[in-house]
Amino acid sequence: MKTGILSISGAILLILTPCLPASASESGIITITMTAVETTISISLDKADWALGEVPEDAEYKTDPEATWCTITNEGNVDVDLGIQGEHAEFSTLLWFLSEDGTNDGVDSYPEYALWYHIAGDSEGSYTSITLTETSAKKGGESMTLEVADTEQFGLKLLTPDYFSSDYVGKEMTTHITISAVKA
Amino acid sequence: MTRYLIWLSIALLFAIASLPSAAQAQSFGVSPAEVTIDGLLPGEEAEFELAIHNHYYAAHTFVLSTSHPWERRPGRADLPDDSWIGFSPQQVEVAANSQAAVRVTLAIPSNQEWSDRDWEVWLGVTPEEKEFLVANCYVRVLVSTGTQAQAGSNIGLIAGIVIAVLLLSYAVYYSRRKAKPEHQS
Repeated sequence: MKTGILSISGAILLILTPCLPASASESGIITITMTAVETTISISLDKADWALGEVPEDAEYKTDPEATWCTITNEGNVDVDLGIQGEHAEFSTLLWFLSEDGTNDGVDSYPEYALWYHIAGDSEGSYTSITLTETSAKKGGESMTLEVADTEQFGLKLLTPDYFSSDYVGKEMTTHITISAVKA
Repeated sequence: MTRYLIWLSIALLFAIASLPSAAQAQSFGVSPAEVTIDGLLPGEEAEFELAIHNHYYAAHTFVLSTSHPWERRPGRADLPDDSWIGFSPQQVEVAANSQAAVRVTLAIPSNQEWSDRDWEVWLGVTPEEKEFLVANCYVRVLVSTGTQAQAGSNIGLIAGIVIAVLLLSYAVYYSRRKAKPEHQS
């Protein structure tokens, strides 16, 4: 009888052995790392608006000053990569489409406007298109990284549509340019 | 159509004119700047907290959203589905020069397809009241999933226990049955 019980116990052990590593590995499966020293991502912009007043068709505007109009400051404790993105402009129910290639000759029947930025210190007159797609901000063709406590300045350029109907007259335009920061 | 010059009263306000803060500088922050989650299994959920720091002189509401990176860490792909990320709350009002916490959950569906993957997703924090220039801070979330083998092993473990209990019951029954005739004699 003892031999029988021993045999059965052995069989039980053999069955359970492959399961043991699995049950042991179940402890502490998920590791979430949030860095021991608290990291904070933070940027500040010293401008909020750009008031142009009344604008005609096919006209170009630049911020004043052209290259140092707005200052971005890295107020966090990590270096950051910067990104930039534009939007279509809204006039109540009407739109100006944001150009993807810097042209202003219209998308279907909609007027098309264009936006660019220029980073201070970049070669004079070099402007980069701001589009609907968020892309890394570039200076001299290279993606920009802003170190802790460092600043960067930029200016904007706007080209109004080459044509827009009288439906747009007297309406207020709203659009946004988003400046993003992410840990480098 | 005849082209003529139309002067448009755009008042390129580009912003909400009624906001008294419109001319103020924008400044806020989020911590941590990066979150790494390793060994998350399909069917499991990870949870962590973000702190939003409002450096404005007035209370502001901040909105959280997911975004696809314009540049990912090497070897990582976009998170396949943004709905796997949840925010509680999705938007939060933070008092002036104060901070508030937002709980983030990441739930991977229970599907072998999502084993052994390396993903990256960005969590964006931006003020609800947008001016012409909008500041936006992203938290990088790096997610690595483990293998489903463990789930298989759990099934094996349960099956093993069931078989062991059956064998043990039989052993007890067998030993008692063997013992009875000895008492009778």
